Amino acid sequence: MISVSRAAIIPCRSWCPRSSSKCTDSALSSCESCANAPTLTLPGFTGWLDRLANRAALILSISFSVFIASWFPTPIIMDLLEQPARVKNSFIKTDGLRAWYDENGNPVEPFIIGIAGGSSSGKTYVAGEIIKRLHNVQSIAIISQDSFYGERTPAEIDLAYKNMYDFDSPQAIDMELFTNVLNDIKKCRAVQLPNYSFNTHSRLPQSTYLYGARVVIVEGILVLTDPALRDFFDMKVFVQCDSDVMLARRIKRDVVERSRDVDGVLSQYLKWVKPSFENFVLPSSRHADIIVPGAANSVAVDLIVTHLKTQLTQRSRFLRKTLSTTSPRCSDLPPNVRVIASTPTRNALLTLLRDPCTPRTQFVDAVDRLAAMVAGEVLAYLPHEKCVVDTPLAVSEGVRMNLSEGRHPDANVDANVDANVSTPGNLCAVAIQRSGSLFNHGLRRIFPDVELGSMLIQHDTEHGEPALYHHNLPRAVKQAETARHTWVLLSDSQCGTGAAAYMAIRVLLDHGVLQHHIIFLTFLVAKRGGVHAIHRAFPGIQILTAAADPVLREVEVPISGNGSGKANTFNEENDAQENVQTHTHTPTHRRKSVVSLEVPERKKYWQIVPGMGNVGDRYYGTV
Amino acid sequence: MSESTNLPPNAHRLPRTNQLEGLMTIIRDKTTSRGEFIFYADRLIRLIIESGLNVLPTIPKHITTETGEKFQGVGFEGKVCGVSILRAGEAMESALRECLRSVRIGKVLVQRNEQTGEAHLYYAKLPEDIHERFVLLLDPMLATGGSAIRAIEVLLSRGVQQEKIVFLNVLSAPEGLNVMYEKYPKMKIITGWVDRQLDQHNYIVPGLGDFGDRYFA
Repeated sequence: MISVSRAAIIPCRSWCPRSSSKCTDSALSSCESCANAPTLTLPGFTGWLDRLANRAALILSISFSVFIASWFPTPIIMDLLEQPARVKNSFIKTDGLRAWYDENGNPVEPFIIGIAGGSSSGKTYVAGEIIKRLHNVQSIAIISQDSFYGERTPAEIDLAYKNMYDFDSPQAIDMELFTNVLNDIKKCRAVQLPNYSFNTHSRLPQSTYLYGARVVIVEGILVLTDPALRDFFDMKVFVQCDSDVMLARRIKRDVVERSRDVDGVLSQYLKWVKPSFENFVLPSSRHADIIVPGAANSVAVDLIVTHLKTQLTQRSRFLRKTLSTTSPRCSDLPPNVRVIASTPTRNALLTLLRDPCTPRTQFVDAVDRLAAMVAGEVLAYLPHEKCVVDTPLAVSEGVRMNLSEGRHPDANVDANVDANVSTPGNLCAVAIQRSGSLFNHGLRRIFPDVELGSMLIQHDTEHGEPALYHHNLPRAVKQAETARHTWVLLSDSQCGTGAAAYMAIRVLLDHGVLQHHIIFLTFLVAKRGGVHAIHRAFPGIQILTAAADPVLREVEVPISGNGSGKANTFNEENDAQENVQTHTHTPTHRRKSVVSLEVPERKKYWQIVPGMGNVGDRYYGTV
Repeated sequence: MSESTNLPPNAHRLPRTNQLEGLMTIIRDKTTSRGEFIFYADRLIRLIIESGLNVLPTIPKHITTETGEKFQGVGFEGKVCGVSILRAGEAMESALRECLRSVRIGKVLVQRNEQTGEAHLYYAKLPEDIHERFVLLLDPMLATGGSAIRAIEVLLSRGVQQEKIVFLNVLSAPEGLNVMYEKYPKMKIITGWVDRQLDQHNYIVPGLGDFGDRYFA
């Protein structure tokens, strides 16, 4: 059983809060001045500087230490220097992702905050404080401008090693890539973030995949300078800080984290950082919606967070009711749904699936057989071409599957697809967990080497709204270049309100998969159910089902006990209470796999009638 | 793909789909490796077996689903057995097992005398109660029908009714289908594909070579 609570914390990459960096070995502040010394005397401070110098393999000049010492007379300012560990491009996820799209299937933009300010002014700190106070947000990403440093020529890399390269000018940033990535994020698309290494002064070959953030914080000294970039921000923040504090922090950071020498840092500061701050960074503050002080800024952060929460409430969507009630009254299926041919074998297998008394062994066999039958029918949707083969005796005409684009009708309507160049197409399968995996066995029979991905989408007990808890997509889907040439066989055991399928389809589209490349496989759809909503929002999607039932109805059942631990006794109680015949699986068992810490007394869900119950539970034996 | 169009009334061909044509193309291709031949032949055979099961009689089954609604379903009567004609027919047994896990399977060994061209029965081991059952007769290739006729003679001699025999094969020649209809008009035949003709050596053309050799090596 997969238990997912609303409070489950699924960190993608741990974010290091301010406190945890205080006394780690890598942080400079791990010296005794942090742990023991209440006051910092000059000898103590020069000792600190010596360590700093040793690390940098540099003997510090006395004049320099005097210069520094004159800037830091008291330990209070030392506190200002303790910045949180710099975490680039982090993604924090605290809960399943709720609908990020409207009833027409169009994505609702995430909230993007741009945070600018001088180098070491505390942008990351402000971002961290915002995150700390956003308890209810399901997913937040921090994107650093540093990732978008452009590719350098060998000559520029040479200069960079000598601290002679201007990293603080807008020219150093690959603004085109930055703009494209933010544009994709604004449209809720999956993106690949570049990674820049300050050790080699070049972009790393591996990019970082980011998808599903509802709040995106973009931080960097120059993020408010570019008008195109500014347009993406729903809120523009400028962090104001004294330049002497910024310099001190910068020295610490560059020497420790980026293995620079102090002389280099200083010359870089005077030559590039300071002019850039005065020419580009500071003037950009006039575009800011709010200016936040670099320290003691909790009031300002509160203001930001309050505004953010209001915005997020406006952007949240509750669609389950809409999806299930807007179906036309007619009992016809929309044109994109095909039910496999009614044969005695299909009917007998469906009977085994529907009958609660079918023994499990027989049930599992029937599911696998029916899945293979449905999976085989998928080939009717995939493009095939004529060919000629030699048999051992003669020549024969034949057909074979060919997913390559080029010959595809796309070439006519889409200028991006070159009619003469054929791009190899990919085929992969994605199962909506858990019961979509019932198709895996059948799909493996037909496409033995197909990549299988999955998405965990569960419905909360309170509103019955679906939430995306996890997704593990095939490589071809995760890369934007290949996604548009990829055919995806999406599977779920049943499609009632279609809310989970709707969400899964949106995920695939957000990755750049084309609508007519998605085929949804299922055992049972409700004729008046979510298939209509899916067709209306995504008319290009094909749905292939083993059967279609006439009715989708909402039922309400009482819940007692508190979920996971008492799951078994809880069922028995309910059986008695509902006075339902034993040995059958009652509706009260449904969806108990979603365990909330606060269980409502009654819950509503939609059932397909006559239906086949929870086939996932019966297949996996978790009833 | 070339195929003969006029079928005798007791013969049924699988509907032409991308899936069927794609599979036929792969197993016809002489460059297909043995591993692939086995994988794709198994899939094709599974489709033929599923179609064969579809001609068996069903009985209504009244059930109540989990939602408490009555549902009128169907179930199979049972009383089925498979009989494979050795050696190539054995290739069809596993697909039958996948569909009917505990099905009984009889075996018949028929070989052609190269001098006389006559099919000779060497061995037959069949379930005792075969006369009460539907028989799915398994042989991937139907060329002249010589061995199938010997096998069917054995079945009839054990009391199996002609109309309760379903002969399943992957590839047939029109000549073989016509012979079968003349001799056993009440028997059903389900075939994956009907090829153009037999050549002077009685091989099916364009065909796929010797199925048993390619499957078992």
